[in-house]
Amino acid sequence: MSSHWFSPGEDIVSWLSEHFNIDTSEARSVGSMLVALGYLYPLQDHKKLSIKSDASLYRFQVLTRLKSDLFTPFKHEQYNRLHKWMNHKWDFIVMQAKEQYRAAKERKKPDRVVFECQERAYWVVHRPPINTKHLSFVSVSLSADFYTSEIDKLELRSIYRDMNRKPPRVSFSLVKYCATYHSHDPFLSRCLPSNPWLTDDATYWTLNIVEVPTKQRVERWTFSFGELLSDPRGRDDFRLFLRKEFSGEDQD
Amino acid sequence: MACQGLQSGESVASLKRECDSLKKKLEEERGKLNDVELHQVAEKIEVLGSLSIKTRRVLKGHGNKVLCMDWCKDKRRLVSSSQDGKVIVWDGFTLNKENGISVPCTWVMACAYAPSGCAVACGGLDNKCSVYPLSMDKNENLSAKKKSVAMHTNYVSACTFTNSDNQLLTASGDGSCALWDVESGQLLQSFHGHTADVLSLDLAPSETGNTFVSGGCDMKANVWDMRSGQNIQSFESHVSDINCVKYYPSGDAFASASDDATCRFYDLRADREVAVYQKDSIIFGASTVDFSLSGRLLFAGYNDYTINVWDVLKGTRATVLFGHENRVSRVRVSPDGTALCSASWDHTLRIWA
Repeated sequence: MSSHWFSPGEDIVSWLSEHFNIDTSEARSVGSMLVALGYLYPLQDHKKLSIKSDASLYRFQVLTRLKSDLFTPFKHEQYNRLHKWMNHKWDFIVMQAKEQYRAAKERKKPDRVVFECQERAYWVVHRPPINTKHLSFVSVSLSADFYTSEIDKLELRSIYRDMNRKPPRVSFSLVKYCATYHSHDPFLSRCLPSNPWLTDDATYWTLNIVEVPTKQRVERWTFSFGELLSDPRGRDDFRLFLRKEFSGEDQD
Repeated sequence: MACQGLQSGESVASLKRECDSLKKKLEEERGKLNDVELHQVAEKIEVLGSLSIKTRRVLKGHGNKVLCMDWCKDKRRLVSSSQDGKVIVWDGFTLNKENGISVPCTWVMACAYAPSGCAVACGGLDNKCSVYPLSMDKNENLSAKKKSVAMHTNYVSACTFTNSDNQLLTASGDGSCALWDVESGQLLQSFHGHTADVLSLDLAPSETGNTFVSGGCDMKANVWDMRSGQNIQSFESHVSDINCVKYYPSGDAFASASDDATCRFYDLRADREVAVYQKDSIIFGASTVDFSLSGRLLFAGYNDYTINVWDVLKGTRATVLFGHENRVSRVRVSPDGTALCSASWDHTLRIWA
């Protein structure tokens, strides 16, 4: 904690909101994350790790010194490496570390909370490398094979493109699918008769499986065969139709 | 040449070098095919109106971080698993806890509802995935009927039933995915190709599809053929772990969420990434994604406690959902698309509509 500046919470929130071009509620949530990870320290209410957009002061902290009690295998490895590297002054380092540990114990509780947060933030930034112990000969050679086949495929595609003089495009089917189902998406259009989650009344649950299908339900049967068969009423009607055509036994 | 075994002078390191140069060549080849972006294709599409999504239910009862959840096909029941080893089956509508299971391990990272609604599967740090048949009797001890199905050499990170109760697909920290027969517990097919922990998988939505997608710590999203066990497509554009992958409802594309604070959208037919969902103010990793029924909205849960809702076609953000007080570990849209359920490290689940 070598250098720090102070600022009221409201200024921090408005700066974040201006800088990222976001509304204040989102700026508040970004600010709270900075507090929770120890980049900002609340001077008034240090128990509550969130930002208040009022005049209460916050201190910016630079994360420089970190202690660690928990020795993960990764940290062990780093420790041994350091040991080898700085062997000639190791006793001095151990002495210094002990001194720091003693100082940490004497520190006040809120300070300790901040240090813990800082350490968490440190490991967010300096993540241990990914676990490569599964990285075996087989998986590497499998991906090598995969790349080779991919390159072949791409070469084929570029030949195909040269022949057709048309670039391959994003599938329009993605856009079309959205448009087809737009009026059936409860998050985008009103669900008929009503979204069952809006009330505590269970009637809309039973309404959705009534014998008389709504216009919307029938419309979905036209989208695909799968839609027709996944609706119980649709399946019944289809069965009836097949029976009329003397091919009911084919359905199963 | 690569699969014929180690030849003289060959090592994993030299193979890796070969692999890297092949990868570079692949990127160059892909770059040659200059394509249009999704938002250009979607230019003429109407802009989304304002969304009014609010918390409708809060599910309290877990004593620790909620790590996973899954909806039942009946559109209102759901199962959730927690870090303390508890699995709860809820009626999301009435908030009733219908069943509780104590799993003999902590960090139950994966849970799934069977298509029939009669069983749940869960797994985690025990390296196994077990199936528990559900019963109407609330007090019955479900652990007695437990069936151990899958067995990995590292933690189980995700699981899902295929289109029947008889098969279970799992992803694991040992870098593989596997398909299991529930009845006999036999391994039907294993899927090797990831070079680090696999964190997520998702089955293709159509019943004839027979493919699934997986993502993991090697920053790759792989598409697999379930029958042959072959890796048929692979996408590497994320710059950190992929935490979640999810198919677009039509099955022609999928989205991924990563620790690099972005979500990405891959078109399987065009064989490339077509959109990136990111913003300067979003600096924390995305942990989970799911699509709305029409595929227009992408719900993404983040480590900064928020759920961002993206307009899939335009590539812009539609809205933000605040409410959770810790990381969002999982979001899932209900089978009929009426609600979104989110699980969080703040020990609760929320249902939004």
